[in-house]
Amino acid sequence: MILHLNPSSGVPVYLQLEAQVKQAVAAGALRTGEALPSTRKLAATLRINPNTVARAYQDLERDGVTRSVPGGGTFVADGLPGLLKSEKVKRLRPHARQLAVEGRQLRMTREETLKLLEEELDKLGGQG
Amino acid sequence: MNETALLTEGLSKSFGTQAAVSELNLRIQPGAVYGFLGRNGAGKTTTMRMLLGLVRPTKGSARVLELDPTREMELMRILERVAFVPQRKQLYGWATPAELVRMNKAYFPRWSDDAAARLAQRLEIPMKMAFKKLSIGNQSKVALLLALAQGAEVLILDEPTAGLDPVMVDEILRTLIEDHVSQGRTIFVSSHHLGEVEQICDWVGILEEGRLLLESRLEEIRQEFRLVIASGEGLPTAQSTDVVSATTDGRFRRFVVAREAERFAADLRSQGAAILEISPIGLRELFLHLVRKEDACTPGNVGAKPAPVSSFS
Amino acid sequence: MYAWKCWRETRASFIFLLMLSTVPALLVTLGPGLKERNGWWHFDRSEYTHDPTLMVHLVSGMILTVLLLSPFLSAVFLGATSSGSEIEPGTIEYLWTRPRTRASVTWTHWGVCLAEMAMIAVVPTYLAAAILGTLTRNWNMPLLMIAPWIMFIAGVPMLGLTTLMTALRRSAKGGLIYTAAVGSVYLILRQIVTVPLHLNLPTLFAGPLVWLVSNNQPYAAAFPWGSLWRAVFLAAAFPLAAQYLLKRTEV
Repeated sequence: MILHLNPSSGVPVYLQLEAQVKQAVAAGALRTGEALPSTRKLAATLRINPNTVARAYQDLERDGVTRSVPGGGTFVADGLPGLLKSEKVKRLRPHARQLAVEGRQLRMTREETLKLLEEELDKLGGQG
Repeated sequence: MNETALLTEGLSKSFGTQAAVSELNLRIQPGAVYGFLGRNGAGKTTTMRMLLGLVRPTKGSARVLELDPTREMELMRILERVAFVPQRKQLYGWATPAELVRMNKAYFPRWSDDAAARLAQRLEIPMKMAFKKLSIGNQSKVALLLALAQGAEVLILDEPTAGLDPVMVDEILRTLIEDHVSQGRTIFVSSHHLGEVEQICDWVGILEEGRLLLESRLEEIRQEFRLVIASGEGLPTAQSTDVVSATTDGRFRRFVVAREAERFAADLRSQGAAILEISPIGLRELFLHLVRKEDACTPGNVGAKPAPVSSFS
Repeated sequence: MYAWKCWRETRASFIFLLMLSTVPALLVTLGPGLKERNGWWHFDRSEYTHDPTLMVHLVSGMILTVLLLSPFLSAVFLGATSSGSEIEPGTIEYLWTRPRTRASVTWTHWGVCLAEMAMIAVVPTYLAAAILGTLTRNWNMPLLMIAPWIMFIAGVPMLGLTTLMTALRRSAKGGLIYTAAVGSVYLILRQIVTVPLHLNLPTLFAGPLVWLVSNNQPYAAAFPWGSLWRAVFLAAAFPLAAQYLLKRTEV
């Protein structure tokens, strides 16, 4: 699994990691049941603090993207059957707010912002 | 190991009338990777020297692994468990790195031959060439090798990557993460390579003219700290616990806010200011904002009583 | 390993000083026997055998004269490599962050130098004595037997003084210069003071050495014990002062 970091992008490293894993899963590049590298290994490979990786993995597990096994190891989970709709909405709202705020800051119209969102959804493919 | 790894309380050092370090309060927990930043002459090296008994504090105290470095017997116990890379990485000119390793090994029962061999290879050190004939980069690498293979619980590194090429810097980072951070060892490192600090550190402390201007978790800097650029009349000039720095840039004022930037911006807007930007701030930018002397509109942006922005949780 | 380091660092000086003492001693021992014959050297053993007692006496005197300065030279050049000399070059930041007390570092160095000084005193003397004894078949050489130890004792205070001066000046060069200065000033003042005050000052600590070389038949009764005790005292006092100074030194 190839992950790429941009340490000076201003986005926290753990968020970058989470985003990349989520994107890989969403696009099908990471399949259900596939194993992610261990915290230590990934930290060493990327030359970052293991705590950062651990944080990302924790968040991914909390979000249901991955699950960890008692013996150790993190694997891609299969869907989010257990999550309530309200919980999903709660999770997604901050991202929606950010998109809205940024769009407003950049003085894009509502239509332009929505169009952008649709384009990204199209890129992911899969279920509509 | 429950003890605090490094602790300083009101630590101060003056050389004559020159205050090198003033009232430094640090508390570094075991396993933390703490980036100690500051300009040349800010007092980083003097602080490290005080932790290792090379210099005596004028005031205040320092404790390493809860031992006092000003007491010789306790200092000996510190030195058994702490590895140090000094700023001036000078070793015996007549000795080859192989001989230096042999000499150093004898002091430390936890020395790892494997780690030493691996590191010597990774860092491409010519082990059979006399130290005085090595390039400065290679000399630095030898000093690093001696410290990193020691099996120490705490690493105190003074500009460990100075003068090394990017490939070597990368190898050092890899070694630090693999062999030290992963084993829960504490690292107290000073460096001018802010990018690398940002990568591997959890904590960062910025020292200027002997005083700690800022201390924070890196995650907080990324998540909470924001640069707010505003223009307008009657903008606040004073520091508060949330505003870490305020500088003037022509008609504009730049604030570095440690938390709740949105609310701060809203307050400014309510006073009629126009907010031009609220953006995340990287370590380099933050550092420059804090220590640069020009354009400061807060009387003591630099060197004055610092905003105590710290979280020890 | 610090002892090994001290040895390794002083090895070249040690060999040089050893040669500097041994070669002249050997030359002086074999000198009387070297004669010219047919345009080349010829060794004439009979020089030694026709009056063995006199020969031993004469050659002993020459050996001791030639070795007179060696204890001081070796003490000073070895002493200048003590831990104080590491301060200016910067290796002290390595040395003093190893888990060894500064005192043990100072005294380990002193001990290694002591061993080297003993060798530099003993080897030329006993080697020359062995050759002389073989040549004259007269093994009654009490002076040569005790000479190395007297030379050794005379040199040790200088080792301490140089260690102290090196600690004070924080470099080998500074230590050497200051030791030379202190030594010179002391000798000059001593000379200046003795005449007007009509003093007959005994030598500070080199008395036994003077006793060894000056008299033709040194009498045990005239042995300068006071000087010897002063030598022993200074031999310990100087390094102790260096130890105290180094303990408080900041780098």
